[in-house]
Amino acid sequence: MRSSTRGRDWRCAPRHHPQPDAVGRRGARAPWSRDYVVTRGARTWAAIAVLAAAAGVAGCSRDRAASSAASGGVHGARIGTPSTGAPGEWPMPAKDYAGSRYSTLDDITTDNVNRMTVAWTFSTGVLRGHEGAPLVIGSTMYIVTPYPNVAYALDLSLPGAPLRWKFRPENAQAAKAEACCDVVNRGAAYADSTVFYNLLDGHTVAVDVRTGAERWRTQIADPSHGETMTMAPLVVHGNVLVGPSGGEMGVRGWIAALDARTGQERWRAYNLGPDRDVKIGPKFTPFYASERGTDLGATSWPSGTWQHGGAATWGWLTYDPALNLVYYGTSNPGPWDGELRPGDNKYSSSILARDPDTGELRWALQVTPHDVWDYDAVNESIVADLPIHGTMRKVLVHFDRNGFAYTIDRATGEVLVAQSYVPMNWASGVDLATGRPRVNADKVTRIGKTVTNICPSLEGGKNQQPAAFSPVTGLFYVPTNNLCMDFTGRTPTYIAGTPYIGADAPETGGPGGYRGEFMAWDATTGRKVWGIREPFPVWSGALATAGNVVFYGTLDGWFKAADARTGEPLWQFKVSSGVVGNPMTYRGPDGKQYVAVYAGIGGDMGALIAGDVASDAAFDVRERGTTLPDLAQHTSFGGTLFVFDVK
Amino acid sequence: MGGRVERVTGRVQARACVRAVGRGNAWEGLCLAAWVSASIALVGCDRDGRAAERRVGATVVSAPGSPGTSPGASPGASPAGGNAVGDMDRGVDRGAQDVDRRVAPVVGDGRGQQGAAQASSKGSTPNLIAHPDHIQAGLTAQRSLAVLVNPRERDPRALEEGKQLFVSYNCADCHGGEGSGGMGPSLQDGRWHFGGSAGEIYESISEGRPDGMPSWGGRISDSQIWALVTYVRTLSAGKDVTTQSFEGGGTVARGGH
Repeated sequence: MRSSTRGRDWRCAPRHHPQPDAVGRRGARAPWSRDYVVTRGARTWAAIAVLAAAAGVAGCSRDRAASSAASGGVHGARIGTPSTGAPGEWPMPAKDYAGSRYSTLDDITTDNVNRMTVAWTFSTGVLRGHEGAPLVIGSTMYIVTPYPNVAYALDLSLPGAPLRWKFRPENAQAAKAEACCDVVNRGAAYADSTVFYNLLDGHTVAVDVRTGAERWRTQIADPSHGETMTMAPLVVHGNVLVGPSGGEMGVRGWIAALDARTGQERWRAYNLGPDRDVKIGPKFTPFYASERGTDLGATSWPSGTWQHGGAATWGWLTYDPALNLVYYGTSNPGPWDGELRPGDNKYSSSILARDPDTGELRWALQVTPHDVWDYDAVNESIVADLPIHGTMRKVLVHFDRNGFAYTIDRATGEVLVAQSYVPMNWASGVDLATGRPRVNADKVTRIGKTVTNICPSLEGGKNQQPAAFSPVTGLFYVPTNNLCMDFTGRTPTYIAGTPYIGADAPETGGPGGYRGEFMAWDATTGRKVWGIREPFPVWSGALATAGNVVFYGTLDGWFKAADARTGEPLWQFKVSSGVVGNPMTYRGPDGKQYVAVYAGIGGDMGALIAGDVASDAAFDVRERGTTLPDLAQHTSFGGTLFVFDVK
Repeated sequence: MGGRVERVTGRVQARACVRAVGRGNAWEGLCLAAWVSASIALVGCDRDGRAAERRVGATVVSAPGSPGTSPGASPGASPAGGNAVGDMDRGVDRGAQDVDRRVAPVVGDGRGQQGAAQASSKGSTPNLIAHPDHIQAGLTAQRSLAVLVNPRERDPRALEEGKQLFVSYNCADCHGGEGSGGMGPSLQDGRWHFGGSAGEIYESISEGRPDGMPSWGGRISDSQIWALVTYVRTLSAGKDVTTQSFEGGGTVARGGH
């Protein structure tokens, strides 16, 4: 999931003659405007230029070829789970069990979003990468910071949202060195007047929302063997579902259920090893033959290597109450280099469906068998019902690190649609008869050999930054990366508590002169509808709203709004630091719609290979690696919550 | 050798503290606090026998008659007397001159908290203990290891060996290829949390550091640690990243990469 390497210079390739007069006054010109230009030519664009003069707006070029297909929505699409909570609340990390990140609030529209301004802000007091999103339940907002994983409860009913409580748990400092990709936290889950979240040092905690008192804490992961906790839990039927990070540290991945009332472990299912540990029984009915067999989680590895085989559970969980299945992806196999582990290496880089009550595995789909590129499959699988070839299908939509966007039957694990959504060359496609990618042999990595120009890079076509789904347009809104890598395998050494990787993989910008794109995707056909190209990988999540406004943030610190139907940039604001968090929206006690997002550069892309600050020590201003050497010009560390409204 | 160093340093620091005490009673309290701190450190450092032995021997400086120590004894006779053999193994070269140079600024600037020692009231036993490491909040440790000489500094094989070990012991996976930075800090930029001298880097590798640098002492040989020190110190040679200029656009040229 991370790069351990040096990179190389990268430069936004000039595309057009710059138009700085359109996008900047008083020095507010977009820093990359000499390379990137707002594509004008429509009246709306002229309006944006006017807005730009006031607000410092600039946008990267739209993908005009694709945008000509604007308004190519999908009729009849719907979120695949019932809504939860009041419409104005945001009670789960992704708003709902489906992972839609869609809100029915529509006070903020394509017509008035250009009047959106900052309502209030809140410093989290923590540097490093602020992934995830706040929760809003009732009149309270709940925030969880990166390490040391402080939780704040803010009272939205009072001016300035003062704190109701602050919860700072014990959290072992040594765990910081076991976190491959910055000491992030992707947020909390809520149920029964309790917020649940994970601590980096392997604890899950339950906090009473009324008092801020700790209800329980359970040590569930073991940092001494490379396990940390960064993911956001999901609560299903009184089970708090959690899993570890550590795919780069030689862990043996698992998912566990903790009793929401007591914190006691109810079940733990491994992603690797013999069937008994993986909880494979008679109800395991994967669609493809290659997923079936006895003890594949052990036999698809050379003897015993599965015990340090990665397949961590650090990404997003979704849930279908009707099928009673919880969905998640597993991380890359360890080590990255594959020559020590010939075989499929199940169930690494796979999408798994489990019974949340028992942990039983119901189906599996290994999207990258024998992954030798660090293509974790942990990205979210969004639960939607879509018309495919004229028939409504219950599907998951999953934008994998490997560069393919999958539309999958969520009852069976059958791949219905699989198309590349970013520039890629390691595989030529996915065979729908087997579910397996058609791998290009010349992109297979090896020890002692440098395989050049593999696309996407190990950061994937998309990483943890989650997509959103609007049932209004029927489209998925996807933050993506456009990066490639040169991969040199080397023999790794397993030393408990240190990385187990075995590769150098410097990254460069992908083809086309941009390194990220925010796009709209039609998952029924597997095609891009529109895209907004960005100079940097788009590492924030997406938010979709019934007002047909979609939101995302950028590593260089712009928070942006676009028209969900056409991709027209509508508004942007330069926040205090790069955005790697996920925007959310809620209705405040005053009845107004607000949009909130964390600023706070960090995470795998922001802190480890792009940031300019190496630690959270105030005196430490050392620089970092080189994949995005130009990023430090635009941002530095610091976590702040921004809350916006339309006056 | 260790015993002699302690005696010399002890005298210097005793003078510092006596001068400080002479300026007012407040310093006396501070010196007392330092004494308590040093006492705690004696216990606290005892993570394992080896570490405790080295830390006591290397950093706790005491004058004759100090409680809990016998600095006048021969090195092998007391836990506080250091382990001359072990230190020699690690390439320790603690000349009294070096130690005095390290301590001198403490005396010169009169900041008692940097060289504090405890002196009893006049006429009673002059109990004098200094423990500069533990009373320099926010500063890098001023351990006498800072003056260690790398025995493999000029060993032509050490550089290549260190380069290989940097990969095979997974240093590269945390600190980045060629130390360019990753989970762990960059080693190319010439900025150091815990000091960039050979001895300080040796200690960082051997003892580990609080934010998660593992302790390699006892797991790999001293010779290998010194080879790593040799290699690591080359990564930042000649680099200066004090100023980053973002003028001129395009990719920013930055030292260290």
